[in-house]
Amino acid sequence: MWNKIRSLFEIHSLTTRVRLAFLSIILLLLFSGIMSLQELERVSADTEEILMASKSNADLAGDMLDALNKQNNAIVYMAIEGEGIEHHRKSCEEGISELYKTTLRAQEIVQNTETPDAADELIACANRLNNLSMMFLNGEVENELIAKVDNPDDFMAETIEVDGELVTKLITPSPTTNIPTRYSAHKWYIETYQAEYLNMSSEITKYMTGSHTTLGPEVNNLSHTARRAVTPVSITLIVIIAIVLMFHFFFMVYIVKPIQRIDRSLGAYLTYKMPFDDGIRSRDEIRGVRDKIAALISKIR
Amino acid sequence: MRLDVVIRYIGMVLQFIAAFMLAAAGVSMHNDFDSGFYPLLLSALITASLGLFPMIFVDRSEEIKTKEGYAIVVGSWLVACIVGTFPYLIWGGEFSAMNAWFESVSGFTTTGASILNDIESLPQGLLFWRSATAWIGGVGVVMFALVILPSMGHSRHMLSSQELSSIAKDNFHYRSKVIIRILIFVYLSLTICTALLLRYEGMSWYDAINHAMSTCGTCGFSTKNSSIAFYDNLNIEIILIVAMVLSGMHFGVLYATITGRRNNIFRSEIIRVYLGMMAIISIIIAISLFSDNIYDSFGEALRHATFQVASITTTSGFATADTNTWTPIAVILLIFCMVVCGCAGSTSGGLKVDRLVISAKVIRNRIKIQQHPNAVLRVKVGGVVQDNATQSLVTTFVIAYILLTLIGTFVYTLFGCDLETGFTATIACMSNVGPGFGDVGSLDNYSNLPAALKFTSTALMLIGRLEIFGFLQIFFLNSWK
Repeated sequence: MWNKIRSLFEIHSLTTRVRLAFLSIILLLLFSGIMSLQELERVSADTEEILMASKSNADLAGDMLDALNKQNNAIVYMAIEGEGIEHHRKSCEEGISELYKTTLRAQEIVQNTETPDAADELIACANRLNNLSMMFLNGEVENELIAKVDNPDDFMAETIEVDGELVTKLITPSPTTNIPTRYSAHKWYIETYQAEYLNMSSEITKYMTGSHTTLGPEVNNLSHTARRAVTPVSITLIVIIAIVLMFHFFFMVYIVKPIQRIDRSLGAYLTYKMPFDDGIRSRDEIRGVRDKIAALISKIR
Repeated sequence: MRLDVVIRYIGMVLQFIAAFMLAAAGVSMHNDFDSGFYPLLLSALITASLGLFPMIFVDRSEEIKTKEGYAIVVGSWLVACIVGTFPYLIWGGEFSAMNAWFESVSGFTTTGASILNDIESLPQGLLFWRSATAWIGGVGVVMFALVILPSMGHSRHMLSSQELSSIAKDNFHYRSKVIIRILIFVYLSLTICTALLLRYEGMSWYDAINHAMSTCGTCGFSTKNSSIAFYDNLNIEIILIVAMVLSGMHFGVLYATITGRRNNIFRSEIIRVYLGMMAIISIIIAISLFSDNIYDSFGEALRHATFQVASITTTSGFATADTNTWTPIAVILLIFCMVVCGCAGSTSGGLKVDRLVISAKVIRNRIKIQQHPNAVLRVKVGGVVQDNATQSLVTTFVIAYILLTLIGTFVYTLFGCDLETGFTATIACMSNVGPGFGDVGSLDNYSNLPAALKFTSTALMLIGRLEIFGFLQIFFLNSWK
């Protein structure tokens, strides 16, 4: 039974041997090629995803910065210049609303990643800034500053010319005048608001460059997929080199050397009448040629 | 030496390995085509192509010479380890080229040392392949091929002789064909029984089969990061202890016990020494651990001591405790277990109890001859007289083992390892145990070692698995002509 099965797999034809050898090399190349192509497609999809994520990330950060600047500009105009209050008030309110919305979007994005709390600091910072702006718009900051106005540090200095000499004079503010309020709002902006504004800017930068965005895992995925696209080809290349070396070795052992042996043996027979004996081991057409030559020689004898 | 014949038989072993890769791809397929599927499938195709190619040209050979036999066995192990890296390399993750080679060699040589920091992140198919390498390596890559591919005629005897431990053959009183069948029968039965019992104790089928393959191959690969400690289940530990201890016994003796023959485990001197040694060491370690307050109760100390002793003596390397925190007495006794290991004719590595017994008797006779110079003394093991050639082989093996341990330790310390790590890692790799002490302790791994040391470790694993001389032959190329 086993011998019958075994005989099915025994190859005694040179053509079949060479064809099978090439076929195995082609199949191997085909399989690794298919897999690499598949992985390359994945690399392409991953790259597209990364680029999209990167664009959306940059857009979001841009929106956040726009909202932040809108709010900041309005506050600067209102606190320092004191101009166009109504127009800037509206602009500031828009800025607050936009910053709130964009930070919420940022939080939604990181919620499905490995670090869902990555936008917490950004949200907290935005809330603090928005609260400050709201307080300013509601007049809570002004009331607070007017209450503090008798503090000598908050007095405004003015340089005036008296009898041809420049004299620095302190202006004692009155709660009813607008000057000390603006002056103190300037100080409030620099000491309180600007610090929060800078914090917020740095949080936005951190968010943009941090690995907690969807970009981090995607990049990891990409490097993983890229490696999976390259490794099969590298391995197959090494295996094919091994197979080609084997092919060369077997070709020499089973085809070239037997022919050389037959030639040498036949030459020795024809020249010196030495017995025709080559000692080849294979069981294919070369063996058939050798047997036929041996039969011919025995007939001639 | 006929290189074409050698290549043909190595190719047959590769086809057998490709079949296991396909089985692992099947596991991946069953697990919703996890990320291990394509790497395993492609590896199987590449390996099968590589294995089938020589068969296109080279016809079957009835006779294999001794040198060809050695070349086939050593070549098969090396090529198996190389193709074993393919699934890991293609899958990627933690597997750099060196890490994949380390994991593959560690699996096939049943060492069980790992470079993986997060085993549980591997897909199921790849973990199955990891356990399969341990299972194939347990009884020997060539031995499996011999039973699966029965077309080898007289060649089978030559190959099985080269694959079996030099002292294991004495205990097999059968023809080579029967020896191979006994080995595979006992091995398969043990694996199936272990898997069924582990499943009964609550492991999933997947974990039970993986742990059974790893246990019977005495490898110690687990599917969990914290090894057997993950389950914290006394019954599972008892099942594994029994399975490990049985896997560390001579399979011929186990077969004789099952079939009711005379040379069974109850009559075997080697088995008595093996079991007695483990029992005594376990009790001493348990007393030491309990008296040092490492464990609250003596029962707990005995539980962990017995598991670790069984795990290390049988070269499995499973862990239920961090042995780095154990007492110096416990550590030194465990190092002794790492050196001696199980019985010849089993799946364990190391010096083997048989060689320890023969060496002890040779030393005893030497002392007696000093006192009685004309005395004619024989070395008998289990009633069988060991001839001078066997005695010489055993003592030479022991000397070679000691020399290689010193060289290995030197290399480890050369690359900045401390003496404890270097010495125990050398023994753990050469005896195919896996975990050592220090930086390569029972709950640590080899991932932090530099690449040069990882390579040294794999060389030691192969040297140990091929019983030193089998592997070292390939370096004496003059003898291949």
